[in-house]
Amino acid sequence: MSTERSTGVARTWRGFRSHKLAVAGLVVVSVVTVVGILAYVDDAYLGNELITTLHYSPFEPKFMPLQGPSLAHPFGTDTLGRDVFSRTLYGAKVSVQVALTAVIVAAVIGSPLGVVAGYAGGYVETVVMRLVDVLLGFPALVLAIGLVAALGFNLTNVIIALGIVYVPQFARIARSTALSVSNEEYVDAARGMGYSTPHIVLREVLPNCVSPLLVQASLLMAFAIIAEASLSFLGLGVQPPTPTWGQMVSTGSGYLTTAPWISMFPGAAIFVTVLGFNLVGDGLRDALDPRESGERRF
Amino acid sequence: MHDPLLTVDGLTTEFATTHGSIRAVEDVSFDLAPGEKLGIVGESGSGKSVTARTVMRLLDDNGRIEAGSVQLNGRELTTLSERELTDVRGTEIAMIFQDPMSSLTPVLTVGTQITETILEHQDVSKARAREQAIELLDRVRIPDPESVIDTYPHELSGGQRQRVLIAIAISCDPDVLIADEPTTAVDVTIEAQILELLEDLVEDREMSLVQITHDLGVVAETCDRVAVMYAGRIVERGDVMDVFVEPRHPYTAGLLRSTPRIADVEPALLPGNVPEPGERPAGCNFAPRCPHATEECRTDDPRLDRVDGRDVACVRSDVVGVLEPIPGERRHDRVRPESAAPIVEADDLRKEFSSSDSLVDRLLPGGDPPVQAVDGVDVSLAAGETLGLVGESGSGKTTLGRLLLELTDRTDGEIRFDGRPLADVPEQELRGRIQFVFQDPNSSLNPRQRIGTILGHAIRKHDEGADVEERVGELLTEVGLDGENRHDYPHQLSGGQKQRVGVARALAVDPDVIVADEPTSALDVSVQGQLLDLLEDIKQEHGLSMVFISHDLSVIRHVADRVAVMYLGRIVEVAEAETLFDAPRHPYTEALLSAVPNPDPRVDADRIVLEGEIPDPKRPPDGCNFASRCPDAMPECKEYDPRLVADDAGRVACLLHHDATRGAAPDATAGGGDVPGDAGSADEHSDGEDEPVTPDGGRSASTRDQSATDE
Repeated sequence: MSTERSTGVARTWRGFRSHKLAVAGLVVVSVVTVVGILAYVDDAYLGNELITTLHYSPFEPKFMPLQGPSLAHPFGTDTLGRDVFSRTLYGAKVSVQVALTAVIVAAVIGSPLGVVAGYAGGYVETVVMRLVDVLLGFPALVLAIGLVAALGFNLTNVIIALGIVYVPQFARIARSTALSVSNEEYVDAARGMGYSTPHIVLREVLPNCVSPLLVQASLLMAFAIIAEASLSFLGLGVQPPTPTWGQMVSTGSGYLTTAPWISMFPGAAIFVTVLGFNLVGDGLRDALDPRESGERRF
Repeated sequence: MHDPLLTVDGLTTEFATTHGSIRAVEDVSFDLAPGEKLGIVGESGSGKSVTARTVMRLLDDNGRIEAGSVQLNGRELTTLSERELTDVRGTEIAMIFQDPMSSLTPVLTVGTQITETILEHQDVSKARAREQAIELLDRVRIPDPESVIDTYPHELSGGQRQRVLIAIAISCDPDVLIADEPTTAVDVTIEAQILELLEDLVEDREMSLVQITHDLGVVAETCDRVAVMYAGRIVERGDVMDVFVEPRHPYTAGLLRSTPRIADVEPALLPGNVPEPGERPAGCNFAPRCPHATEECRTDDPRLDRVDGRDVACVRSDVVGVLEPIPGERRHDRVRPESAAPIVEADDLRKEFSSSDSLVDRLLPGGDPPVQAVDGVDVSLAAGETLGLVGESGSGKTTLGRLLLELTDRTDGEIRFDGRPLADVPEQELRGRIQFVFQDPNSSLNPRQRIGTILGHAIRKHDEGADVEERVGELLTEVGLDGENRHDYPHQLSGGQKQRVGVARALAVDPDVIVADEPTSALDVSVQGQLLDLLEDIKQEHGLSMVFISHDLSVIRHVADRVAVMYLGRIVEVAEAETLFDAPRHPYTEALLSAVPNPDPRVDADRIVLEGEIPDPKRPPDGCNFASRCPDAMPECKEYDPRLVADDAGRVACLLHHDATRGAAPDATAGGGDVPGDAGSADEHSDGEDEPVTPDGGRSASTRDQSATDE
């Protein structure tokens, strides 16, 4: 089993590596993820020891407010006199946390629904996909706002809301892939063998649907980061004092002419992270597509 | 002898791949005189298509001409710029591609695509170009060209699309026409039409033709000269009459001998595989598979030398001498187990496919009528026999095979397994006793599972306590693979090896019946022979019964004891293989048999070329399904639907033969007085016949008879 992974992964990695932009995206995504994880550990277990020792606390307003970028405060200070650099680093925590878990929630709910619908066809497919269409009928952000408003403004509810909003994305892709995989002869062969339906879905169909779902997941991470930032910007996301990028942009929006750095740096962080996930997604798509593998092209 | 029109000299083409540079074509030379028809024949990987593409300068980005020259009308093509090439392509040299489905743009009408080519190369008005296009369509014998010109490619059948491609290719009167497997994707009756058309066009317009194909029969029937390619090189080149009748290269002879023929001979086995371009051996490429090879063959690259009126690339041709192209062995007598009990029986089997499965479409009126994929078929398989199921695409043969395995739910009819209705056979037992071997080796194995895992699942499913590791080894050995192949993924195996794994998987449950759906159609001739032999051995050893589905009559001739011919969802003739091939009775069987290209150029092709194509199965013609194409159709054929009537020689659904039947039972007619083949006469003659199933069925036939006479 381990070598099965390694051969496939090795081939994909070779394809991925040849995309310079995708590798750059991966670097960005890795840096953001590591910063996010460190911020989480520091905040949850170390009482912000780490950041305070290295730089300044992101929470305590003890400096002059609205200071421009300087050596001491490379990103300046905000309206309350907090260090924007520290807050931007800590903003990664919420972004990564929300994007990662929301996309996992969506994938875990959406993919099996789609695979089952695609394999089973008939009424099962009609019922599942029409429900998915209803969900898709709402504009994603409006639905997320509605859900958060109903559930309450906190981290868990933002994750639940975005997770639900992205279910259709996975369901639709999983369904169309499963539909074409189901027509492969090895699925017929499995039926001819008398394998149970769960065996066929789990062992024959699902593993062959993973590639496009993986690509979709990495692209949706970008969307999830924007969506989380939007919710925070509107004040519907994670509440202060926890720093999030969207919230910081929102705070700074009143001071754009006098203290643009308050919004600019978290805004740039959103931009770079989203771009990174998009590049990774594109790279993955090319690397996982066998037609692009460059082997046997004659 | 004219000066050659096209001269290819020392052509070598390389492809850059991730594993380094691969030489697809090496040192290929040939001439083409005006009006000459040259066949380039070889198995996959021989470099025949790459040769054609190199001549046209249509290589993919990673391909490169390494050496050699291509001269057309005295002009060197290999050094022309892309701009200059556009002038040459179309007007001097044109190509017909293999796949008519993907070679036409789906978003433009047929007319636009033809006039586009004309306008590019000729200085004519649009209206004139359109007239020319209509003439061209007429020339390639498309009925009603004035209306076809405004249709989109998807509205045409495969055969018609191929004709449109030919029309485009000849639109600017090229001197050389290159046809790359033009008939591989079409049915045998359509193939006969296309080959005839090409021949006529080439003669009318005094074009030269390069016919690229894997089918020796096509070369024998349509070409003057032939170049046989193996692993990127030409191994033998000369007149078809010389090369195919007295081959001098062991590969040519081996290929000829391993090709299944309609004639009464057993194909000989050509062991081994064509080496991959990156893995060609030192010395002669064919040496590892050659029965005449010696040490010197493994060191020296043979040159193409003049021997006996043709060119042969074999250092030992003096020693080897003239080789026999036709296998020596007579066809094995097939001993069909007498009075063996039928193991699978189907009565009046039906399968309808609706064009739309959606609930809304089904509730709303209108829409297309359902397709009768299988339309009242009675069939039986005796224990130990091989039943060949033959027909063109759309005949329902694959659907029938799938119905027998319940891979597809039947609409109506009954299937009995071992005398018990299928509903009474537990699923687990059924799956353990009847198995399927699939057509496409690339799609029939899960790409994410190792061979060992694939077989292991099957073994455990049917024998919980089995020693899986040991069984996997046994199975792989039995199908001629190595036990170590269990660690491979499907993509690491060749097509033939994958198909062997498919057979091993079917055997894993130790079945009684195997339904093999075109198991060799994706394989090369020599590999096909090996797989057919394997199936035969396994069948003997395990005492299996087999349903062998194929469009290829020569293959059916080779494997089947009894043959059922299908047309448009019905069986039109069933007989012992020998009877059917020696004395076909249904005009369709006769036409099919005559359309099979024969690799022996001495046999004069006396093809019956059927008009038209298989009718739309949604709207089958009135009366006999085949009446619209039948060369022997009588007026009553369009009124009465003949049923499958049995007599001593088998069963046939044709009014021509029912006449005789009717004579024997003058009273046994019903309905219209001269309706033959009704229930009465069928019963009359089922008494003496040895078919396990009484052909009392054909319910739709009776009802259709009825409606025909009621009008």
